[in-house]
Amino acid sequence: MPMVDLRINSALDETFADFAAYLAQSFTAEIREAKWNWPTDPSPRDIVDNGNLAKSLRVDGPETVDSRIEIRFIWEVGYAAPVHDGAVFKRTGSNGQALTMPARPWTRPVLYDRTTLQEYFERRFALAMMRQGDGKEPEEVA
Amino acid sequence: MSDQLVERGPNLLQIREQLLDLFGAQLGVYILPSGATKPAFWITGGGKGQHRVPPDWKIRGIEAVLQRRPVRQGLGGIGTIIAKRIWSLTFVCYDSTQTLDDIDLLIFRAFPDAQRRPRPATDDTYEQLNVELPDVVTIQPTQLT
Repeated sequence: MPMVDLRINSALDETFADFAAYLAQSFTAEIREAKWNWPTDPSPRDIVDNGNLAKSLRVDGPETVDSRIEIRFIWEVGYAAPVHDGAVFKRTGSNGQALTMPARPWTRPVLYDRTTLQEYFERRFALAMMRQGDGKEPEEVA
Repeated sequence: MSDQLVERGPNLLQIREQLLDLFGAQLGVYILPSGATKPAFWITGGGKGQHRVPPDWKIRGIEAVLQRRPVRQGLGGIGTIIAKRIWSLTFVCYDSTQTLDDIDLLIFRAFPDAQRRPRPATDDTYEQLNVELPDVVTIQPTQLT
């Protein structure tokens, strides 16, 4: 394999590993940010109760699956999906209507901010390529 | 003279009609206090800012809830912006004899690039399907005189 391909592959591996850590940190920051509306004071506030949701994050990857690079973010507490996507309970409130839990989709602000993600990835990839070029740590690019 | 931004693409009502054409037959009904029924399709944040149907309405079968405001992502452009809108749609199955499988397949066939997150019923919660539907629009400035 030509040397330049090896360098690109190596730089991509490094960049995706860095990117996974960056996303994990960003998701956790979203969980802890006071931005969700609640019916009782104080509102807005975060979605942290005992901190187990934020702490339960497991990151699998990056790994190559069918020619794609995949990173999986898994929150291992059972209530992660209902908190993220909302839920309708079978029990009812005093008015006879099913109780609901509103969706708090903490991944969306991170994943929908394409510009920030793209810029971050490109900057880290450029740094990784520079490191591959001469083996020296480059100066931080603004 | 002032500028106004105009979005070229289907509006909320057109999207509602399109979606009802796709899966309206699968939906249940709202039963109003008068006894009248209507398709169980709710758009959040209407006139009174309601996020769900009024408490005196009853829901039978499968309900669809569409968030009124999509998330917009810029895809580029000069002057005219090309944007991707992402609509959040949630289905809840209130009837344990039914499932959301058919709706999931219909959505997949019509919108293969939609994100779908099915969640089975539990002892405490009803079966639910969260969908994020993308569409592409252009946003352009129109000069008003």
